[in-house]
Amino acid sequence: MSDSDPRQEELVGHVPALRAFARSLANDASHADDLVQETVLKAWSNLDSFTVGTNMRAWLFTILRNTFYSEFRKFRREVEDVDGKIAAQVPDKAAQDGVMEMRDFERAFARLPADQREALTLVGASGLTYEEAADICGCAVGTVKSRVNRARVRLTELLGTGKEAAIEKAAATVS
Amino acid sequence: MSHDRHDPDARASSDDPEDVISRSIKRVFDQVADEPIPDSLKSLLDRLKDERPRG
Repeated sequence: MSDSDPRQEELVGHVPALRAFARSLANDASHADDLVQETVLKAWSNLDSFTVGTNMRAWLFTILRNTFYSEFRKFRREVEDVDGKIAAQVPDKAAQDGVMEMRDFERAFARLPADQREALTLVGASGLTYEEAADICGCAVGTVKSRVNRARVRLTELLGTGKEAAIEKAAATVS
Repeated sequence: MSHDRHDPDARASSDDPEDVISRSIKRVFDQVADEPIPDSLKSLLDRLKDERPRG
């Protein structure tokens, strides 16, 4: 690279977070990385439309989300996963690393509807505000809050009320 | 669309350190983010960087 554009460098720096956000939406590592590749290509070719000084992570997440939901219409069955069929197919690493509780959490998370997974990921993991998450999702702040709350309730149901300690232990174990 | 709002008070309450679900979500997110970038994606980034500078 001869003349480095700082926006390009910044974009590259967000790739790990993009992968994590994509994984929360796609529930499949390979599909998630395809989404990231497509997002990077789109963002790279449209860098001029990004306003320096604004939140590039939010901009990239928006591109990724739009890409995902374009595919959503084609692959609705994969995304909804209301019966947990895809979640049940997720390779179980627990046998290898003994982190059973974290796998329980990941399976429960995978069973949430896509809109709840993304809301919880955006505000709970990626450091965005409710306002930023609402911008990304193209909905009202109240809608994001509602999705987050419903996701929490559903996770609690799926994991069982007695599992909180196990989740906490798992959160401390996986690192 | 504006993404330049960074009001700390607007941070989600899910950042509450007592919240085990939030901690688990963060762990899963960070775990994926910490994974090595796959070769295919790395190659794409290298190729893009090597392209002529944007005008």
